[in-house]
Amino acid sequence: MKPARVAVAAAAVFFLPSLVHAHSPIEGIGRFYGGMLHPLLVPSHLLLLIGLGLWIGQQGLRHIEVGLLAFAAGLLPGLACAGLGYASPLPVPLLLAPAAMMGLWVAAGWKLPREVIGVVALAAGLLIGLDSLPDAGSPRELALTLLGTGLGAGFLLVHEVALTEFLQRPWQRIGVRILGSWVGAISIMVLALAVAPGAGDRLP
Amino acid sequence: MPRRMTAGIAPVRIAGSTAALLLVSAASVQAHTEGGIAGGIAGGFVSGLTHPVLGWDHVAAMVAVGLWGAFLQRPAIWLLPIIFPLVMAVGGALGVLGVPMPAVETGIAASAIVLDLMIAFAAKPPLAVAAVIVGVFAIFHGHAHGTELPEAANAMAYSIGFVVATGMLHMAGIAFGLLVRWPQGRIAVRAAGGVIAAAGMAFLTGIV
Repeated sequence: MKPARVAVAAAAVFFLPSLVHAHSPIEGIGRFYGGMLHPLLVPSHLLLLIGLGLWIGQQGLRHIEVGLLAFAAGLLPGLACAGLGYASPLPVPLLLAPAAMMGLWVAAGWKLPREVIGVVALAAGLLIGLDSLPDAGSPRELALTLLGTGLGAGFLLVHEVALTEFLQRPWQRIGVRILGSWVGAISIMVLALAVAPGAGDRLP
Repeated sequence: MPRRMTAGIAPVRIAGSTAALLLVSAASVQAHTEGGIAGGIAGGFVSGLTHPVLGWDHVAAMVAVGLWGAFLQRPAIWLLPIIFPLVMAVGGALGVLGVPMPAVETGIAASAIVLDLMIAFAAKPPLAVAAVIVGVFAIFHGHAHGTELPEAANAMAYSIGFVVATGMLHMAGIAFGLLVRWPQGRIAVRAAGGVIAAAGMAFLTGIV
């Protein structure tokens, strides 16, 4: 529990300064904080992270270790490729399809082998990393942005997994499955929009 | 300290801190909404959130799903709110893809009437039957939402908005439906179902 409290307090310290910038909180927020907010501001990333967090949190402690480590193992090289210019924006369906899949798994309450969790979490981390292309800037600015993005995505996922894993009462587990159905439903709807002729330009 | 003793404390703290983090970060995003990314997301979300709420037929049906689930008790009380959004999304996908569906508005109106009549008459079919009934009507609701999705300011935010609104209406129905544990509450729930069904019939036939 103590490391989780430290993580929460640290994350709160990082988020609080953003309120001080009363004008243009995004422009003046700096590359680091902007990167940290990136997973929250990109809906496809947020959906994928929420689905992944709920799913990993449902699986049990031993599976959680694999999931979190695999996610980090995918995220870091993805961010590195994005920073070095070896990546390009990914099609939104590539992020939404796994989000829909994980939403359905969460809704169904399925527990899967650790190997599957590892592979899926690795892929999710890689996709988010590759799609987190920073704005042009100096190497220092790029590094700060990517560092912020990695920390933001990591904090969000760890929080979510910890909360989901702690929710052990029957009604709480049901609530998690309902949230999973929401993630699945939203992802399916927007996926349809992505493949519908002429409507794809409505995707964020 | 045994895990059981901390099970109630730790998640509250984590939930509280998580909620605080989300609130803080949300506040910083919303500070200037002159359009752009924040305005598009906020506008799309509000648009989606209000879409089910501003239609009596949507509200009546969504609340009825929760009511009926509470009436049928476990596992329907949680299974129906899980099934409905997912099947609704399929209907929504059909709407987005332009697949025609006949009499969508009639189907939506009928969903409110049928589901509330089920409550009024205390119908307790097998779970699979209840799930199929709810699923069929979810297609109509989803199709209506999906048809408007391409016109939304931000499609993703719109989707999040109306799925969340749908879920909240289910929860409202479940909360009211929990009254069935008392005899007077059971009467109240069934009466509410009857009144809503009658109102729905009046709207559908043009009497009101």
